[in-house]
Amino acid sequence: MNNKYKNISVEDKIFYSVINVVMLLSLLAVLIPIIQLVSSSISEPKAVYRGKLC
Amino acid sequence: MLISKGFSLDGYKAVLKDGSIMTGYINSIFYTVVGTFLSIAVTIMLAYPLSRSDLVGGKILMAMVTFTMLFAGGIIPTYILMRNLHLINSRLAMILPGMLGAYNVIIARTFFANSIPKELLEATKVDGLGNIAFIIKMVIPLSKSIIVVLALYYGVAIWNNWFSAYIYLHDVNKYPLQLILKEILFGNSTDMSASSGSSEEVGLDALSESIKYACIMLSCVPLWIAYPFLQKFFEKGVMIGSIKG
Amino acid sequence: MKRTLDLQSNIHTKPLKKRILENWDLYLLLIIPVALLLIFSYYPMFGLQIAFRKFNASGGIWGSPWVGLDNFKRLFTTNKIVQVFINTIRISGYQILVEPIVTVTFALMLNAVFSSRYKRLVQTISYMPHFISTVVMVGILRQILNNRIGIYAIVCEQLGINAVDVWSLPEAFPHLFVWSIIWQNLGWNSIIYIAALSSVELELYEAAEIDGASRFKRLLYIDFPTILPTFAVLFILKVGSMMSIGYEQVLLMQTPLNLMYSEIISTYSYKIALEQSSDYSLGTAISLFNSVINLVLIYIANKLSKKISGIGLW
Repeated sequence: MNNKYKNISVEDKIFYSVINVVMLLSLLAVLIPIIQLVSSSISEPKAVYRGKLC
Repeated sequence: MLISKGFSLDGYKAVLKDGSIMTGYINSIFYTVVGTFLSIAVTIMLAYPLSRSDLVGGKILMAMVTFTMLFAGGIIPTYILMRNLHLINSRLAMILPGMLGAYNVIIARTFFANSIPKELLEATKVDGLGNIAFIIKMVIPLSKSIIVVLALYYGVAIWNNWFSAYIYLHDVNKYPLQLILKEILFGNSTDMSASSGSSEEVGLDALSESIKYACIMLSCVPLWIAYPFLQKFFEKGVMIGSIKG
Repeated sequence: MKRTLDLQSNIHTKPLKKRILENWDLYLLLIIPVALLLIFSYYPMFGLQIAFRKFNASGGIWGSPWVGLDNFKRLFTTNKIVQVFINTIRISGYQILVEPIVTVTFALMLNAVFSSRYKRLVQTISYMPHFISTVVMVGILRQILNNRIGIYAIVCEQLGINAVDVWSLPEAFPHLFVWSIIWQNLGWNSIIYIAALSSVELELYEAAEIDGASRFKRLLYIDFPTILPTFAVLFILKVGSMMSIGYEQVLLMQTPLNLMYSEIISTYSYKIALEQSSDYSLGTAISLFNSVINLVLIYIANKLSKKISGIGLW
């Protein structure tokens, strides 16, 4: 796959990079709340209660 | 920030000890398994005949099904109906009203129309078997994808359904998990920060927070785990079921 | 719609009776589902007539006295209905305009991802929010947007701005609602578009590439037209449910302070009939009003879509 990737034009590379960034942002937008959920459920109750973040 | 501060399964332990939550969980499982199974059966019973071009009256029936997607009686007339049928506070109230979803019937029908070859039916007729034997022997085995699709659509809908229970059920021991969750999350809207009480009070409040999260996990995780296994079938089914002939 | 080949070659010459009797077992199979359809879908439609009656418990649907358009008159003379109507249009319109655009953009982008492993990863994870129930969804929302201990609070603290309690701001409601719906359904709704896009023949892409089209151009000229038909149909269906948008989630997201913007037709109707006053007739009248507008909107959307793109629901 890396070989194919080197052969495409600069213009296309920018396109793909932008897409990858946007997808990464979407991924984070989905994951962060979910991870917060999961970690809250396995955390020390008092810590959760006080809003343990940081 | 996202890493837990101090590992503890206290929330889960408390949930397992709580009778009403566990009952709710079992109720949800019951409603989902039974409801999904019945819904799939009934949907196929409607969709397959509709997919047959030699069914007299098929077009009218199809129109009737499609119409329900655009227009419906609404919460109140349905509630009155349930009352007349003496289904208020009955477990069936969680299963019956949603048994046939018009959208699901339509994609199932499209699926059957697109993937059951005519030759197969002809061959079976030559052998002297009736329609029902055909369905059992040929159609169902070929329909794995659409069954998975239906199972997912109905299953998720029933599992997450709290509103039906909210208006139809009165016995707490019939409540599905989602409704119990709703009561826990939205029941008492007292702001936590108001109490500055003793450490014991704080402990209890804190525990209730953990219970909330544990409950949420209980309701989401089964679906999150099940889906990846079903993904391949599901995607295939969606593709075939949505291409309009 | 393409007709499947007729089983009997002489379907037009076989007598009706014979054609029916031949498939007797199919009809047998249909008894239960059709009964369910009639009872649970059509009978309630029939029960809508109580919008024209003054419903009382003993009379039931038939026995309650007929009052014609009385309920509707009462309805339109209250101030509340105007507010409720505007709220519904505001939220629905917002959702109908924004959600499809975001979904399609996401689907097109996802399809264009170069690495298939990355694509799969994003896809699978993006489905997760869909499986969350409305209860959990709003629970998460409350948690994150809590202006003391939520992520929202932390971020505001870091940026040094005052964290306003969004739950008390009516104006915030439409944004909160629509974007949470989008968050929840983005991945799931994009499945059908991805499925359609994956059926595009590779030769088409190759030909375009040879002609010198950049990937972006290929997206515009190949991908986009491919999903247009699907998009049109789904859009029309969406418009039809405009008036009955996710009332469950709205119900849960309402607080006494944001009701000014958050009371919509379906929640209002529900409260009137089943919570506050047990006025089934009035509640049904509201709901009927709702449904009729739905139908009109679907009709208009369908006509428009046909005019613009030639595709319609019927």
